[in-house]
Amino acid sequence: MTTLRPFICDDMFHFNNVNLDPLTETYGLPFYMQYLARWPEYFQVAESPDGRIMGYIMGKAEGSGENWHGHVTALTVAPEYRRLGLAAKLMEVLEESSELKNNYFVDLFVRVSNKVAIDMYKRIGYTVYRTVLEYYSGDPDEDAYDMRKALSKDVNMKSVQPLKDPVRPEDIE
Amino acid sequence: MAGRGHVDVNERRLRPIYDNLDNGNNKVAIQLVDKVLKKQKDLHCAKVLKALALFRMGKSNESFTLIQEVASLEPSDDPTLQAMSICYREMQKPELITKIYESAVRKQPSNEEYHSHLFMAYVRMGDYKKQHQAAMTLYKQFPKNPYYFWAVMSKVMEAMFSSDDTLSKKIILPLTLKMVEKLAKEDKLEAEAEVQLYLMVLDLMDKHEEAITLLQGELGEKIVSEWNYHKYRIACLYAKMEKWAEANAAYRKLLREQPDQWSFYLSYFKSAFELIDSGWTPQEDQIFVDGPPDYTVDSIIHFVEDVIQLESAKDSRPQRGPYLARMELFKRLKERKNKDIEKLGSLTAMLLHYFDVFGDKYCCFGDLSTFLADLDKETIQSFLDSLWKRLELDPVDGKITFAENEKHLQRHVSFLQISRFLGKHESLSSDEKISLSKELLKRYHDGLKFGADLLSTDLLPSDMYCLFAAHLLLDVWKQAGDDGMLWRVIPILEKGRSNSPANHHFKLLLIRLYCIVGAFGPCLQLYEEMEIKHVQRDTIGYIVTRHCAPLGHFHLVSGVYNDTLKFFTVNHKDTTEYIISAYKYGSFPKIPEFVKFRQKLNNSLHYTTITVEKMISELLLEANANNLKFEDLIRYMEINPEKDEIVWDELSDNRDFTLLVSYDSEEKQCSEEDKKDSTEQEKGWLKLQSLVLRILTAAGLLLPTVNTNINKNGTETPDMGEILKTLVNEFETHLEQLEKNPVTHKKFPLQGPPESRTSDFLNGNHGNIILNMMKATSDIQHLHANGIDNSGEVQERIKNYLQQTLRLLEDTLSKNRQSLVTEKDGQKKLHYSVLPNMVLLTESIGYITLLSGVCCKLLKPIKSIINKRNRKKKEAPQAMPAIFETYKKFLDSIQQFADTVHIAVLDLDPVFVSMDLSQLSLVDKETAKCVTNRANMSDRELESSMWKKIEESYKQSSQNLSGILKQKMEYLATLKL
Repeated sequence: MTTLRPFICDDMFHFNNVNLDPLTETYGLPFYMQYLARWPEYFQVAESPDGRIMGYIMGKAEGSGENWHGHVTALTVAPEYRRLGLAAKLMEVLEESSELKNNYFVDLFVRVSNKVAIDMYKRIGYTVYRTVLEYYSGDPDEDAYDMRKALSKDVNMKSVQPLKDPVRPEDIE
Repeated sequence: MAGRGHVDVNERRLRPIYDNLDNGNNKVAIQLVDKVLKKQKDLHCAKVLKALALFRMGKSNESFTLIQEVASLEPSDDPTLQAMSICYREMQKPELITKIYESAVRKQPSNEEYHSHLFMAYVRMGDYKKQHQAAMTLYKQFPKNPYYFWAVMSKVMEAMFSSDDTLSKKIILPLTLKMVEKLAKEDKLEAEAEVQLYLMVLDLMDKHEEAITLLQGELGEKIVSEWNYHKYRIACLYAKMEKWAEANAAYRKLLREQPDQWSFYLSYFKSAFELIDSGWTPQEDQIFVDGPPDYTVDSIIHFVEDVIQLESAKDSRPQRGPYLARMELFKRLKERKNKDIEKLGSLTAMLLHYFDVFGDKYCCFGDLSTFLADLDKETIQSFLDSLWKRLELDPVDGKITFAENEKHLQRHVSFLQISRFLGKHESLSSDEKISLSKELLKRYHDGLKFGADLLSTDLLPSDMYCLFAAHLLLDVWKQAGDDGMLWRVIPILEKGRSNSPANHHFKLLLIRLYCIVGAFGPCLQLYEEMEIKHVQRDTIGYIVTRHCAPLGHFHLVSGVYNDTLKFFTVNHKDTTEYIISAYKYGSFPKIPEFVKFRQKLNNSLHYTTITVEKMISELLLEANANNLKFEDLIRYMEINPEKDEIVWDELSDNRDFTLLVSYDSEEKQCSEEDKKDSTEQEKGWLKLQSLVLRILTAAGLLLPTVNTNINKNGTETPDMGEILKTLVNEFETHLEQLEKNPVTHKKFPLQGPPESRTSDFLNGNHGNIILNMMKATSDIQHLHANGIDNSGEVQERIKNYLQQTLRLLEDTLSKNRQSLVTEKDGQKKLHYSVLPNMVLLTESIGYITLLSGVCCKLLKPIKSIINKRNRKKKEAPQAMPAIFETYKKFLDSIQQFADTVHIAVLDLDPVFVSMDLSQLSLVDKETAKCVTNRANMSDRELESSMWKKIEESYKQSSQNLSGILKQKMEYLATLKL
């Protein structure tokens, strides 16, 4: 039981149980506000009946021509609400928003080591489009998969034809 | 105006300056500017860039003079204006940006961009009226829809943030609606954002019927970017209009599509029961597109059962919503004492069914907790027995049966959470608690195998056992006051933390416990491990800022405070830009949201408290040290003692109190009332601190300064003596109010907010101690201002105040002076209340020292006047008034006293190595020796590591206090009349 609704600023006062997770980054306020100001419908939160934040998704629409697509910037679920299919549900909302905006596809980056997440994305129809070398800085740097799912606008599924060669972060459009 | 070629030349010349500014090479940027200016004296933009570089180097006065020089010339070229905007923004002077664009549009009235910049400048200021004017001017010249709607939105903001509600409702909003309707009638509404704004205005005016018509009409079709927007919005509008039949049918339809959306269930139930309560029945000719609404209990039950049926028939994983909805319905029927409740079956059966389906999910307990309270007392035990049976964890041949897999373990954890919540742990005896805790620790060790292939960023399934073991022992500690338990719990949590570094629950509870035992030392590292930053500084920061100084870790105070303040100042500057963005992108509903959010941050109780605490700590640590005179430092700090800058009614307590998990029964958890009371406590403390700060400031300003740099602008100086007197009265009244208020001394649950310092402060009588000293200072100022003649009474009063200050100090010391460790019946005990009390005492000595200095400097001129007089008329020299002797005595005694406290403080430097508490060890000898954590430490080693940390922390506190006291004593020794 969940309430899905648009993310609002005040949620930032309450998202600690989600953000204290070590893989969930807490950004400066401008980062969240920039998304809220430009793509409010791509920023959704799942709330439990007692008002706790269970997780949220943050994304945007960008690109031009056939590269006009929805992008998932952050997707996170608090540890206590995992394995409930919540991430998939949040993705569904973002995909619906992207459909409404006539996006060709939705894409996201994920650590190649994050098997749980990769499997989840595969289950809901995402495929690896390309590998981005050393996308995540750290010790050592880690590669990312750029995963994609075509939307109905991309009738011929052109956007998800996988690239053979990996790319460098600076070469991503 | 020069041709295009000229502009390019300028651009080329300025480029390297911009680059250097971007890279932080401010000095190089200035050199380049100077070079350019040699060639081209009147290149305004270069000057502005120089001002920016100067500002970034901290030369704010020089920078400001330079930029104002340019401003006075009213430049109107884009690069200069842009550069000036950046500079003013960094200087936090947004009002000056409006000035430059006001003059720019005067000079170039047809420049669309400048008009739009002017609008943005007003947005930064939150000047809604001028925003509206600027937007309308823009629209008249450049008739584009967005400009018109900027004007509309400006009106909406004026209405929403006006203090005059009638004005908003009766005049501003109707006017705004007319503006929108005018364009709508002319068929000129184009964008989705415009229709959104139209809806927003209707909503503010409670014109819901019109909103529905709009949504269902042609204009409604423009709203396309939100999924299911129309359906949600219309259902919600029906509910707002209390059209319950329509609302009910709408929500029922939505639930068929999304049976897990909890908010829909709440609205569905609400509307259905409204219909029942009003005795609603359908009229004969009434037609319902989606079928008649549910207006009987039977039909509600039927609907809910139906949703469950559909859900359980699905192949995919079941969603929790329908099952919980049934329990929610039970809860509501029970509240109404409705007999039909029987048709739902027993609550126990529903709970057990839920446990069967979702018991292996971490959220199971949280989901059920609201319904558990509805269990009848007599059924609780049989319910728990049934749960336990399902777990199949009964011991075999007296040996524990461990969970077989991760899901099994999680089901057991859910069981533990439920039974603790239902009071089953409370009712255990201390011995039973300890033995259950031992069992859970064994289960913890065994369960670690389930985390073997998890990443270090994952939480371990077994962590909860460890946390439960800790909670049980903390129960024993609280109930029996057995501190031995604390020394058991900390190493257990340290073990949990080293095995599961991603789990913040261990760290948060450790910070809490270390602070309780007076050891701040280990806390900062734990805090930093959680990577707390940005907005979390406001919501979580209190867990360290509350304890850092009060536990004597003054060497960390400025770092901790500065990190906090940096977040707030940077945020305040940066976030206005996103209000502007929201106008640009037409995200109108976000604009009031952003503004309110900024207000909450700007009025944050935590922010305000840290601002005051930081200044107080600076006075305490830095005044009269290292050649920095108190009276100069005060002036650098630019505090106006006359004015209370804090807007008390607007203060917003943004602290998060849900951080520490608790599975205690409802009445033992941190309640809404606790939270409210904690806010009140903190406000009370803030007021105390802010008055102390203002009083010290007023006292410092009584003294003249020789430093002319800071004795700026020759405005008339107010009568500081009067201000001081008023503030001291205010301080006294506030003390009385705090003493009287029962909330002041209220204690909160361990997992709730920490208590404010006020209680300890009052218990140590520190309020009265410094009050007496303040009064003495105020009276000495009176002598200074009005002369010593005929002042016998005042002198007598001062004598009393000073004696009283000393007497109270000595009382407090004798009450608090205690060895850190005592031994009774072979049991050693650490007295952890000693340290915070010594810190309070040291702080009071600090304030007294500052005021002593002020008194001394006020008395000096009086003495020299008498000396002078006596030298002139030699025959009958005037006897020295008693005040000087009184004061000398006081100075001697306070020095002696500080010395005594200093010795007490040195005693805080402990030797814990001898604190062997191992006879209480919880783990049996074999486990004690074996290594059960990633840090490769045995339980014995974890324990001695804890003592070492605490010992080091106390050593540090002792050193800090000693340093402060020594410095105060040295200063006092220099005071001579």
